[in-house]
Amino acid sequence: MTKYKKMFVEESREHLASAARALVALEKAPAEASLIHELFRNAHSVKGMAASLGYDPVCEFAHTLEDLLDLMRRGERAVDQRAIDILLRGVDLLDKMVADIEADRPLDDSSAAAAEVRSLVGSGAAAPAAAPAPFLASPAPAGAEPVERTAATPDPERVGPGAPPGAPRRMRVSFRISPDSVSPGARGFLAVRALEELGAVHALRPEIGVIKSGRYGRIVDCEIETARSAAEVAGTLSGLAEIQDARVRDAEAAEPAGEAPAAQADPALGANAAAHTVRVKTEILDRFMDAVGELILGKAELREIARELQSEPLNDVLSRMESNLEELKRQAMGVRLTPLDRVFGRLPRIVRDVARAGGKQARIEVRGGTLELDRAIVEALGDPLVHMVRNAVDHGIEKPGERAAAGKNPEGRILIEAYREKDVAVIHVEDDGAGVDPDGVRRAAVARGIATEAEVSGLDERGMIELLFRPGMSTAAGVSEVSGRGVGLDAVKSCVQGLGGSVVLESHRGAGSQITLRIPFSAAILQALLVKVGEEILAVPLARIQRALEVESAELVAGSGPGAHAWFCRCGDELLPARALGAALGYGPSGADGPPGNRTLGVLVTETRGGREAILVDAFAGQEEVFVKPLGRPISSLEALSGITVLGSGRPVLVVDPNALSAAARPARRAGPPEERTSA
Amino acid sequence: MAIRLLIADDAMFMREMIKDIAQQAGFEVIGEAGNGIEAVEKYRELRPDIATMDIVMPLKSGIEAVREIKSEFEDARIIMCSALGQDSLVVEALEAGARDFIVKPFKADQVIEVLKKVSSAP
Repeated sequence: MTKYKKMFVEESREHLASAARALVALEKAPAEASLIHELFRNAHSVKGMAASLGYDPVCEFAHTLEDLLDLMRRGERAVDQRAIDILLRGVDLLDKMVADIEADRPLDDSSAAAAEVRSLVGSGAAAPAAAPAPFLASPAPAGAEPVERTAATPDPERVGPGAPPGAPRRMRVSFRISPDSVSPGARGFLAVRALEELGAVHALRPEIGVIKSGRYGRIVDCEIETARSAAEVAGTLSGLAEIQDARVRDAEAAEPAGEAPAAQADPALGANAAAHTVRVKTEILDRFMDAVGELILGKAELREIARELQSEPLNDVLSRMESNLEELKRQAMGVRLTPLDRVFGRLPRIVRDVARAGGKQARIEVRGGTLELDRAIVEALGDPLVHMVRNAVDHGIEKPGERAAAGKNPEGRILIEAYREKDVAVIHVEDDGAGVDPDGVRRAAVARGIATEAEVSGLDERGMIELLFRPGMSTAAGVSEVSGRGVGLDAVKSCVQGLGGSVVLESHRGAGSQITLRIPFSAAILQALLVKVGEEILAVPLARIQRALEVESAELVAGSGPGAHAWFCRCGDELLPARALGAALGYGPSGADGPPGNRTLGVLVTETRGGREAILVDAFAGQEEVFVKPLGRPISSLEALSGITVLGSGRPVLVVDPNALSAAARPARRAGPPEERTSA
Repeated sequence: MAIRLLIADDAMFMREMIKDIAQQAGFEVIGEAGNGIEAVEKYRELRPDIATMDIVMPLKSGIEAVREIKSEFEDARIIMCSALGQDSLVVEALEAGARDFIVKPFKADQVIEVLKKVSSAP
C-alpha cells in the first residue's frame, strides 16, 4: 500500500505542477483551448488515482475542479481572472491534501477555497462566457491556429519542388545546434546562410557576430520572409548536419503564450505519450551505471589485448560489442535524465504571485526547459531556482511607475534560459530590473556585521557584489514577505558548488542582473585528453579545455616585474599567462617548466575564474573515453584531482581538473575583466 | 559520370582516408595536393567538381587557398576539413566562400553525406 501511496503522491504532484503552469499560461492566453484540455486532464488523472486509493476528499474536490473546467471548456463559464484565481487556489488545496496524505494526516476539504470552487460551479450562468473581462490579453483571432511544423512532421502537401510558391510570408524559425558539435559557430553560420537563400532573414537572435564566435547557447531564433512553405523551410534546416529541433511557424499567427512551457503542449503528443513510465529507485540506477562503467573499462582492456594478438575475429566481435556497449551506456545515462521543465514549471507561478504581492508587473520567459540533466541534479536545483526568481522579482524588478520613469517597459522581464555547453549545463536567470547597488550591499554587510568597515573599504564594485554570497546577506531595506528569510545567495552558491558547479553574478545598475549557474552533467564517463608530465600520464576532461595546441618552448615569453607570471604563451592574438601542470601539482621539474633548452610542449588553454590561462605539459598522449571513479580520502582533498581512471592499457591515471588547480599555486594575475563579476 | 574530387591536405594519412571514403562512395579522386600553393595550382589545372581543403597547411593556408580559388572560379565547390578547436577558422573559410565543412576525426557516412550534398546543390 505504501508503495502506491508514494506513487500517488509523486504523480499527483507532477499533475498539480503542470496544472499550475497551465493556469498561469491561461491567464495570458484565455482563448487557448489546449490549456483547458490539459488542466482537465490533470484534474482527471488526480481524481482517478485518488478514487482507486480511497482518498475520497481528494477525489471529490478534483471532480469539482473538473466540473468547473468542463464549463469553461464548453464556453459556459468565462475564463476570467476570478476563475483562474479560484482554480489556482483549488490546485493549492489539492497540493495540501497530497501533502497531508504523504504525512498521514487526516484530510480536510472544508476550506474556503473548496466552498468557493463549488459556488462558482453552481453559479455557472452568473458569468457568461460571452462577456470576457476587459483585462484579458487579446485572444487569438478565430481560425488563426498557428501553423507549426517540426522537422519530424513535414506537411506532405507542401513538400517538394512541385509545390507552387505563394506570396511571401513572415515565419518564425528556431533551431538548435547539436550539443555534440565542435563547431557551433560554423554550423550556426551555415544554417543562417541556408535560410538567407530562401528569403530575407530578420530579428536574428543571437546576432550573426555572436553566432560566428560560437559563444552562444546553441539556440538560434529568427524570422524569415519567404515565398516558401513552412515545411520547406523546416526541411532545409533539418537537411543540415548537426541542426536539431528545427521549428517553423507563421509569425502572423498569435503566439500561443510561448512563455510557459505548458502552453507549448504539442497536440501530437497525446495524453498517452507520458503515460507509459515506470518508476525506478535511483540507487538501482546508480548500481546499473557502475556496472556499465566497469563494462566499458573491460572493453578497453580487451581492445588492447586484441591489438597485441592482432586477431581479426576478436576485433570483429569487439567492434560489435563496442557499438552495443555504446548504446547501453547512452541508455543507462538516459534513464536518470529528467528535463529541467520539472523545476522550471513552478517558476511562472512564483513570478506571478511575487509580482502581485509587491504591486509589480513581471513576465517570465523560459527557454531550454527540455534540457535533461541527472534527476538528482534537477531536484537539487529546484529551491535555488525558486529563490533566484523570487529575488529577481522582489529585489530586481522595479514598480511599474519607476520603470516607466526610467524609460522601461512597465512590465519587467525575467528570462530563464538553459543550454548545454559541452559537458556543462548552463542556466541563466536574468532580469531587466534595477541591478545591484554595490554601495547598498557594502553598507548592509557592515550594518549586519557580516564584514567590517576595514574589510570593505578596499573593495572594488566586484568585491562588493561578491559580499552578496556571504551568509546572512539581503539587500532589501527590510526583509520582505516573499523573499523568504534565511535563504540567500549563499545557499544557492553552496547548493550549486555541491553539484560541482559554479555561480556567477553580473549586474549593471539600471539594466538588471544576470546569474549564471554552470553545472557539470552527471559525468562519470567522459572524453579525456591524455597528457604527459615527466613520466606520468594524466587525464584532463575535454570539456574543461578550450583549445589544445603545441608550441616550441623557445616561443614562450618571459614575464617581467614582481608578482608577474614567469612565462606567457602566445595563443592566436592573445598572450596568456602560462604555467606548468607538473609544477602546479607539485611534481618534480619537467621540460614544461619553460626555457632553457628548446623542445615542443603541449599547451592546454583553459578558462578559469580570472580569465584564460595556458597550462603547459610535456606532450599529448592521446584521447580516450574514461570512466572516472572518485578518489578516496585523503587524496580526495586535493582539489585539482577529480578522480582516477584506468586506461585501456590497464594503467591507472589521475584525472586533473585544470580549473581547480589551487589558488595558492596560482601566480598573481593580470587585471580581471572590466565588468562587475563575482564568482563562486 | 562520376563526380571528380581534388583532395588538399598536408598529411598523407588524411588524404588517403578521404580518398578511400570518397572512392567507396563512387567519387573519382582526380588529384591530391599537399600544401596551399599546390592546392590552387592543381585546382586551376584539373578544374575538379569538388575540392576538400585542410585548413592548416604549409606555404599557404587552406583559407587563403579558398580565397584565391574563389576569386578565379566563382562557382568552385570547396569543403573544408577542420578539427576540434577550429570553429572560428571554419567560419572564416565559409565566409571566404567554402560551401561546407567536415570535422576530424572523419566518419565515413558524414563525409559522404557532405560530399553528396555539396555536389548535388544547385
